[in-house]
Amino acid sequence: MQTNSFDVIVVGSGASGGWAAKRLSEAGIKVALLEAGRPQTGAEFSEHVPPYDLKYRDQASEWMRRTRPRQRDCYACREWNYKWFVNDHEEPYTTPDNKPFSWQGRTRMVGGRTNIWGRQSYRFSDQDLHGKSFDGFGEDWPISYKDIEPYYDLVEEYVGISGQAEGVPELPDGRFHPAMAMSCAEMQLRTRVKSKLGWTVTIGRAANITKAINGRAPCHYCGPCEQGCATRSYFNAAFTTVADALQSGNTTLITDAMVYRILTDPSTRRATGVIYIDRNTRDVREVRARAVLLCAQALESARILFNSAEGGLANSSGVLGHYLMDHTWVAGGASGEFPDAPAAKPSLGAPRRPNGLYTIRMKNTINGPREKKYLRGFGFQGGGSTNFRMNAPGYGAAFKKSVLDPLTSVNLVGFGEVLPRFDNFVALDPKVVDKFGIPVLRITMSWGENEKAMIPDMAVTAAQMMEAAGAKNIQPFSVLDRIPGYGIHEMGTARMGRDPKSSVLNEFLQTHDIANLYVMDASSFVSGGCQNPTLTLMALAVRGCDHLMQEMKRGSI
Amino acid sequence: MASNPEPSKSMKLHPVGDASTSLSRRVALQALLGSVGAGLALPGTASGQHPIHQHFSSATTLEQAQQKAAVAGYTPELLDAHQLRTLEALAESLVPGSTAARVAAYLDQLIAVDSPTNQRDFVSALGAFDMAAMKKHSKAWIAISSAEQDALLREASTADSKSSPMRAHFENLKTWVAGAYYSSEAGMRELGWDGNTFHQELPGCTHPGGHLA
Repeated sequence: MQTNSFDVIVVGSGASGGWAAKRLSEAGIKVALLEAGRPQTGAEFSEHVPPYDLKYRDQASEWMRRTRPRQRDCYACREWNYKWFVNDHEEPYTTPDNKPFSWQGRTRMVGGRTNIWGRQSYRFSDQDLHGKSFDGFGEDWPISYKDIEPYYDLVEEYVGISGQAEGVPELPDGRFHPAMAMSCAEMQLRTRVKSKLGWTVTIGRAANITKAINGRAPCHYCGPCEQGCATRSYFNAAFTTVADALQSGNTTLITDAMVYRILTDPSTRRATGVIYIDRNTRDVREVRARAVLLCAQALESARILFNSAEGGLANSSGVLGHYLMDHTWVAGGASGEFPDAPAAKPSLGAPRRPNGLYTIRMKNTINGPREKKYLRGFGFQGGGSTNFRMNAPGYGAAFKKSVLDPLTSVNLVGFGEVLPRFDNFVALDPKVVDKFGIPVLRITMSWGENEKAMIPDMAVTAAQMMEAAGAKNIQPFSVLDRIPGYGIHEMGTARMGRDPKSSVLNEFLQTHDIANLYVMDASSFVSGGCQNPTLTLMALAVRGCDHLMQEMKRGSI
Repeated sequence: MASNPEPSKSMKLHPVGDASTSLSRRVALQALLGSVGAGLALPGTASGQHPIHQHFSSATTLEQAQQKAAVAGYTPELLDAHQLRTLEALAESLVPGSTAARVAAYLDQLIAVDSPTNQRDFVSALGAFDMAAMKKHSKAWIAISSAEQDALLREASTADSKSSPMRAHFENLKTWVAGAYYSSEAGMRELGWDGNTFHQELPGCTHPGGHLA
């Protein structure tokens, strides 16, 4: 077995791992950055490749499901880029029969999920961090907004978030690149909802830059960011944080490294390194360092901890793997038509905005009325569009003419907070291993009463907004039976807290049990808010790295 | 719009990836050609994005496409020769331009890797139109005149969707054909696609007041 030594091992090169490698190596620390997938050079980017250059034009779902039955659940797994995702048969997971879970977005590329993420970037407010103080459920985070704020600023400045400041306390503003434009129908919704209901509909806050920074060009509105970006206009760790880390000369990137377990010295209760399996050669290798940072994604990091010790490493609390959260995704909402709003004719040649609308949480807010049926709240994503009428009736020349008849509509789709509950959890499946022989996760998760009560209100609320906006043909919907996982926002599997008896991490993402072991992805989340989690986990990762460097300087690590 | 909507009766969304029902495929088709806006994780919604209209063609890819289209004598993977000709005739009637866009060959290739249920429904739809022609004219679909085909298509397209199997076959075939046609280069160009994927500006509402009143 070959052994190399570094100061710090970072497991995972996505949103949090990229930041950790950048932050530490730019401060002169020697980092080993381990990525389970292959290098991302950009050579496979296909955002400008026309569908008819693909054999199946991305319409052969059944064919893709032969190798990626779960990954294909995700809109971002396409014929253009499906090879970036795991083969579900080779790297499976299990669930109880009556509790399906869709674990999507499992990329095996440098940059991780930031290759294919939805890019929506929102800050959490104290309302999100201190839900228990407000309604009594769960636990408060051990930190406040002011603790994260400077790190939000730092991360946003570098990542580049386009958006609009609104001055609404439920969704703190950031330092935005110029906002992307809204259509007339969207403006009509925004102004009338604000006027009649007092709620805020704003342009999505997206990690798509609208001015040049750090050698990256502004968005050119081609559309499918999930397939890559020649101009690096959306934030992808592979071409930003990871590139900077490598540029520093202090980061060694090791690709195709499936980290199996963390090594520890029982006499000192310290982590000493990790063991990984080379995906291609199946060589088993060991890397040693003064500290280990797990940035592998909330489920994969839990899996590594469970594989590292009987009962789970750093699990004296017994909560490792528990309190798994997602968001209820497109769970309830409404669409409405805006036939009178001015709109350009639809055209496949028009610019495409890689971003939608965002409606700031309006239920159970600190200053607003409380709902009787459920705790917490939801935001709406979605957006307006002027579409071809593909469902026009008839056939022949008349059908083709009708297709061109424009239809302007707006969709509001709810993303709801999911309460952290002990009985939503992951553990090792004692019987199943992946193709490397590594035990896989068994995921047990379902919606609780609170989620089921909230989802129908998304439909009612969205319809109310459409009515206020003067929309026609309003169609509310709700989906109570969508299985968890579709939000692709797994959080909470190693939650932080002040009490080592009820949490795995402290506020700096350091495990209570092992001082030189940190978990820096969304595992740490105590509650999930209704906002997309990536911006927050990046800010927390940088904060955790600063803590680690202090501890290293102090000599305690 | 009722002021108190009942979500339980309202529409359900189907992910684009779920091709197991013709409904989901129709929804997927709408998403396929959705326009600007919902650049989020919204497959299945009417305005959901699809990469199909986000692409351009370089001179090279155009040339390749034309070369592909020029390949004669396609050997079907799923259908037999008669079915392929029937599909070609039906496709041209449903969405004119389909023959030149090689819709039949593409669909044969696509449905060859689809689920057994979708394969059966597709083959069944072709058979049903053949039988409709035989019942009325004692000939197969491709042997009757254009006017006779049109009369039968009109009947199928306007039949009661609840009671008529022909209406279901019509909608099923039409959805496949439209999806194939509008993802071909010819179909995309008909919808305004011009090969330019670098846009300097994103136009938006410039009206003062934002349509408040």
